[in-house]
Amino acid sequence: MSGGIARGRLAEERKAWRKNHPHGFVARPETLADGSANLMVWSCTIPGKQGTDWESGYYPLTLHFSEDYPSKPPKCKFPQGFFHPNVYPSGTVCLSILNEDSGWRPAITVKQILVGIQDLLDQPNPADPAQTDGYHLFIQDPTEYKRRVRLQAKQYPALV
Amino acid sequence: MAPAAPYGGAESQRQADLLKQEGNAFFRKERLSAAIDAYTGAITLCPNVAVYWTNRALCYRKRNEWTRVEEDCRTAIQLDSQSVKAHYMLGLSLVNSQRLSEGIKSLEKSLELGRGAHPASYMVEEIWQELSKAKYIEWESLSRDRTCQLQKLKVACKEALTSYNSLDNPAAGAPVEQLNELEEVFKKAAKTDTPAEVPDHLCCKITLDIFRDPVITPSGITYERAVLLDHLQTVGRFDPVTREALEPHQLVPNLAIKEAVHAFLSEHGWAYKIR
Repeated sequence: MSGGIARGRLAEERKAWRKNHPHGFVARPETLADGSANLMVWSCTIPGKQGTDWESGYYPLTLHFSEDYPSKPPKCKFPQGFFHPNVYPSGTVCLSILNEDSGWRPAITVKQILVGIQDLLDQPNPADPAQTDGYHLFIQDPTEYKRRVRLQAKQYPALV
Repeated sequence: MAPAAPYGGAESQRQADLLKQEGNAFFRKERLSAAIDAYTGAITLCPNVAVYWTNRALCYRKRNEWTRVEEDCRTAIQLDSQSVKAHYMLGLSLVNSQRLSEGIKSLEKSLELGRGAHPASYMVEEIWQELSKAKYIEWESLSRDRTCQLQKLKVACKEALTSYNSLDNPAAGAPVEQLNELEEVFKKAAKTDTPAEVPDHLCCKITLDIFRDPVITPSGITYERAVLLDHLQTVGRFDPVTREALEPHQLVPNLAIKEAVHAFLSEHGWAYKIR
């Protein structure tokens, strides 16, 4: 039965997103070769928050939903090697609300996930490091950390 | 295949059961004619077993022979008034024969019986989908009629306003202000038939869809019963939102929300539309 629940819920999420979503964000199910939508994988874009080192960057993120969604959270992945203390080298985001054993709740929506990740970009959690590079610079060399963040923002410009 | 001549009660029952199993095997292979023959054989031997009638009705349903579905289901209901499948397929046959309100009653009955027996089964979900479709078709038809009547009434009111005003001044039509007010009145009258958003408090936090069979947990949160039972079985025995320990026996039907949903759907039939 779970599979039906997951797809039904994602159809509702899609409907709600199209009606209303935060400015600058993108979230849509991936399109398969035959032109149909695959509700289980969403391609998203998270804009860097204004007034932070992340602004002017539009960061691609993929959400992978399992048949157990929304009982289990989606896996959220930036591109491999994404620079951030709480992003694993594989690109997987490490965030409490995405952890099924702690902060995840089935009531959390796609919109809340994306806004939560946008908040995480400029407010890393040093208690939960996921990569050596980003973590060490954030703790030991804030100036270099900021430079790297701004450099990365340039790598992800707005798609015209 | 002609059934053997009836033996004593027990032997007939055994033979009929073998024929039913044969019918089931044919049905799985989509050999519907052979399945119908086998079930007919079982019915001939033991005409008082409801399952034989519903199984044959299922074959007729696959062939869209709705009159026969109806006949077999009515017989099955006489034999077993609690048969979920019989009420369900009777409902389908009536809906497909354009007898909507009768069909809806049968589908509602099957849903009620199904929820009592297996609240989380695929069958309950399937019944709900079909019931929603039927209710939506019914709403569409009634809504069309209402819209048409409102439109006629609006035209008549505009004409009446215009002719009333022209008594004083034959050159003048109805004042714009009055026409705007009239427009507003008719807009309000059409509101319940205009699709909008289902209020959040009538939607499950897991499905984000309107409640069908809401249950409340000890932590005070309401969920869709089938979805919550699925969560407790596959994920863990805890409340999905508060994560407090939770056992299936602690779920209590939320009758207030159920009533509110019923009232909302009665007023806004568009909300039955399947996503």
